[in-house]
Amino acid sequence: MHSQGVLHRDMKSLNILLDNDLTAKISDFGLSKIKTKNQTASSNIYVQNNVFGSLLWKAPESFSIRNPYTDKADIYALGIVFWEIASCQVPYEGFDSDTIKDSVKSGERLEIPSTCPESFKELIELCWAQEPKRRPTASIVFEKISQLMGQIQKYDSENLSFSVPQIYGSNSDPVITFQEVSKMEDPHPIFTGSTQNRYVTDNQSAQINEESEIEKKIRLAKEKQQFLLLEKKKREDEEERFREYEKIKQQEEQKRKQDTIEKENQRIDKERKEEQERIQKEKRLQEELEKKKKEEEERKKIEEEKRKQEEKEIQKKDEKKEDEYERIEKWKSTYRPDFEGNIFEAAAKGNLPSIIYLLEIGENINKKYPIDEKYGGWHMKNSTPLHFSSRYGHLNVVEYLVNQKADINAKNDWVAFFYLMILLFIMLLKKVILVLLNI
Amino acid sequence: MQDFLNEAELLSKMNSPYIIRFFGTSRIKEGECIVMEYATNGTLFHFLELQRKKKCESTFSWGKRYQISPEVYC
Repeated sequence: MHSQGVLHRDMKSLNILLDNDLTAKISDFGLSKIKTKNQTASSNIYVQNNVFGSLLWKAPESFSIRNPYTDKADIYALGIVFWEIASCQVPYEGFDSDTIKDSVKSGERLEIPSTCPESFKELIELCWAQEPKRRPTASIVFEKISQLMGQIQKYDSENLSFSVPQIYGSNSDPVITFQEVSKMEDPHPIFTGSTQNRYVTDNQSAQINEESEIEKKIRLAKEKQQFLLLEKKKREDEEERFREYEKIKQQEEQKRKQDTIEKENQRIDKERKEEQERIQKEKRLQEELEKKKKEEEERKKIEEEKRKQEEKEIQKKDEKKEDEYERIEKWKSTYRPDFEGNIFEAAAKGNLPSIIYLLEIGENINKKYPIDEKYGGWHMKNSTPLHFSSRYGHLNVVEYLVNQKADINAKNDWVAFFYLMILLFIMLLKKVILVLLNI
Repeated sequence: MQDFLNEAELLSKMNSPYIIRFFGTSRIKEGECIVMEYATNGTLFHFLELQRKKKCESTFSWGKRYQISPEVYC
């Protein structure tokens, strides 16, 4: 990657994925950039503004914006990742971001566990060196790791009681002939497929010198069987552990599910209660509306009853009037008076029997006659039938009016005016006489 | 968006066993996405967390540890 001029710039254990064969694969190139000759400081702002998670893998020199991001910062991050692998822990767990910054700047580093092999420890220390120049390049790191892989295979083989004789410091001289070299080049059957097995083959070659071919074959077969058995055991152990872990996981998931179900039930209950309350409120509102409607209906009924009563009264009045009319007609048919047409007109014209009849009924005789017409030389305006009849000289009517203390001269304006004039004249005369007497 | 294009461009150029394989990009409703090789064991961080939970850091062999360690060189 670095040889192609690409900087990852966000190297951390979260961005490294593991294959089925547990080979690490780098991913998430979202912040990476192709290295250029004139790299400016502005390109570093991305990393500066990044989330807290990347701070743990940040190199001390890249905390200041002035320094450009180099491939050595990637190597520093790689060193932290190596530490994570060595210790199986989260880096700087339980520290503030500021304290981490200060400690990294001052040159303090994480503690490498004592179980870590020294060669790996050295590699980690080199990777996170304070000065970027001291840190190794990517190719050196690769070589060292591959070396370590080779060593570990030897280490494992020793642990598995593989009888590997010591070459150096032993009595037997490690002289290797051409034939042996050719044998040596054949990869060891156990380590087929592994690329870093040169170290081991050297050891094996010494062994070949001492043993015969038949013995060698038998021994190899035994070793194979042992190795395979051990590997099987290892796998089984791992599988059992994984199963246990999965069981624990499943239990946790079940608990979570139960919790979620309970929470959902509670929510549903709450929602139901709220719905019921809403329904009750709606019912109350409906009841109130119905009450209002009933009240309005009652009011309407009362009003209708009032109207009916009024109508009845009016009808009664009408009936009374009709009764009167019927009476008049009956009277007409029985007594056969000597007038024609309306009884009021007749009374106004001085027909005595009509006047008497009206008086008997109790009709308002002094009702003003509506039509402005002349009857017998008299002007009908502002006058009543009785006045006319009295002026015609009907004695009975005059007597009746006097008995009733009616104002006979009412509405005859010109007569009143005349009387007033006479009175005023008399008053003037009196005053004139008084003035004259005083003189 | 720029980050996405940048990443896609870079990944398409990379071809090594130590870098995740890039298959292509596509657009879906939620946005753009990068189609990559599927890593069955998840991220290194979570793998280590898993080891921690299983409480087998001590038995976790150093050979495997070296195998896990990522490579920047290619």
